[in-house]
Amino acid sequence: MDCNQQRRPQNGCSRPMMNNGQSSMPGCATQGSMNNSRNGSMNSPMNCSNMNNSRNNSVNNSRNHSMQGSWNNSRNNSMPGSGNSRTAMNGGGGGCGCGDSGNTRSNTAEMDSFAVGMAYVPWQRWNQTYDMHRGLSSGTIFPELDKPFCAAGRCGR
Amino acid sequence: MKNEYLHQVNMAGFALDEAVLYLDTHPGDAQAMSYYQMAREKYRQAVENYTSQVGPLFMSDVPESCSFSWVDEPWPWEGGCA
Repeated sequence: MDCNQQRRPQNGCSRPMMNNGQSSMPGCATQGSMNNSRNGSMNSPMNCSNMNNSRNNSVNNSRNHSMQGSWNNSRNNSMPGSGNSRTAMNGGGGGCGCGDSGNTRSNTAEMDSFAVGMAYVPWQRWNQTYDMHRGLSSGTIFPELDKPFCAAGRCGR
Repeated sequence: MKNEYLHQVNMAGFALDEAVLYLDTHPGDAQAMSYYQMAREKYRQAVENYTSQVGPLFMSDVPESCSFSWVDEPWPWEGGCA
């Protein structure tokens, strides 16, 4: 059993956050790079132009944020999405207009520590379970995983 | 009656599968291990009940006999798994 893995923080960073919301770990995403990811792919309409942008962003981020590269970038204070980039992205006033309220900032502060280009699944913890009858009919014994399934225009459980 | 026995097997078997999937990534979780033990015992009982009341559920469940009772029940294309 890999006990170290279980104790590892689930945000993908093994070092604590700084007070300003930036990660103290080289290689962890900052606000700037999160915005890149969000604007570049998550909320973009699916058209060819944006898909190309998204692909380019991903490729660039991937190149720049490979583990070795990130460490080196951080040492040189030139990591994309570092403090200067963040100021430019959010403080510049241009951009998405999605606001930068205190709540948003605090909610995204932890996410800032995520490395870009990686997928994360929150660590499941053992809680209540359905009884076996409901578990079989629901397709899971875990209430927190009992999500509506929407496909072909229908939603159901 | 046969369907009810089979339903018990399916319920316990599914719960056991779920516990196994969870334990694959949480091997040190004591609560999950406790659930696994419970589900495993229920599954074992359910299979035993089916086997004793209905017939062999798996090829390895065929009891000692003069004939091979595995072939006594309807085949799937005869509605045997419905």
